[in-house]
Amino acid sequence: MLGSLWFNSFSAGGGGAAADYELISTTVLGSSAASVTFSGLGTSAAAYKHLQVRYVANGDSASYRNRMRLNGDTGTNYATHLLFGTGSSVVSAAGTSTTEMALSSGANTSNVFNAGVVDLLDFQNVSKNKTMRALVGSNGEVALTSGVWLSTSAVTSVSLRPDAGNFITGSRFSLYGLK
Amino acid sequence: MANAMVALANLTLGSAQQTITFTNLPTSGYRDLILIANTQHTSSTAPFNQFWAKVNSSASDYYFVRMMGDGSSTSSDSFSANGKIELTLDSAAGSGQFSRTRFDFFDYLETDKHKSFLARLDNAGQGPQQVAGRWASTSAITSISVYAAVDTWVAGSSFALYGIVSA
Repeated sequence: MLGSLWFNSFSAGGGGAAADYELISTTVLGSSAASVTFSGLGTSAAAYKHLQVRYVANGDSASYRNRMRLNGDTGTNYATHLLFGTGSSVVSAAGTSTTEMALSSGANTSNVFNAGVVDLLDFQNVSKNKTMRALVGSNGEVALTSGVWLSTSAVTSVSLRPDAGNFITGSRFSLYGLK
Repeated sequence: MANAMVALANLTLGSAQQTITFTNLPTSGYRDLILIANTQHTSSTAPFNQFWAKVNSSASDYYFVRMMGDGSSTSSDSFSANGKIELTLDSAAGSGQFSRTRFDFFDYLETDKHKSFLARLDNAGQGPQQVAGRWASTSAITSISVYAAVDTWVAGSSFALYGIVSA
């Protein structure tokens, strides 16, 4: 038996529903870029407890992994653990004292974009290090990742980049705030 | 600011049903779609624990990787040019549990890319399963169907579709 739900009209914005999950900013690349940064979060995201990044991206390198950096900190102040399925096995990997946190991998295949949903918790709290968790994946890999930025500073900017090459045109990154 | 996660439709089954289809999806205003299902099958043994999905009724060109753990071991497999998206740890009849399945479809209206998706099925009785993949088409997604693969879902199973606003 087929059950169908029909939609006749929609209004983006929720028709007055309580707004506890809100769009802060979206970037859709009109040309390739080495990185994408959401900045000024001390002001634009001040009303939120947590942040979420949703992305669908591709790079121009034959092999790359997306990375996330906070507040432009290039020091070895990050760690990431990954549990990922390769299509034939499940592998666990970790990086400590790294300069960024790891997200999804990708390859420069036409039309094939990798995707991720990344939660950055309690990003304004100045008494704890900042933790990240994500579900990410691509054509050839699915991964659960957890990461930390060893800093109690409030997060004021979030940057993503591929660790080789550039993000290509059409890559999209959206930042949301959760109250 | 406006709410960025908007409920588009929801359905709770009043009787057993095999297929749910969300049609006439919004053609503007949203960037991503999230589908959340809470399901239990009317049959109790494999292969009656399969949760399938298709978009636009397309019966080809799904590429995806799965990762699962059952409490004692882990495994991962992959599919190419498959006829549907397949998840395999849905709750069986008599388990006393309903699984929770979530699909995220990214940029579902954009015609410059294949349609990437992430999915996760949580079943306390059998373990979690994560999936990442794509529908290898640049067409916009206009409908989403989910299926109890070879049996039906019990009354009380629910399905909700949300739109994620992205300017």
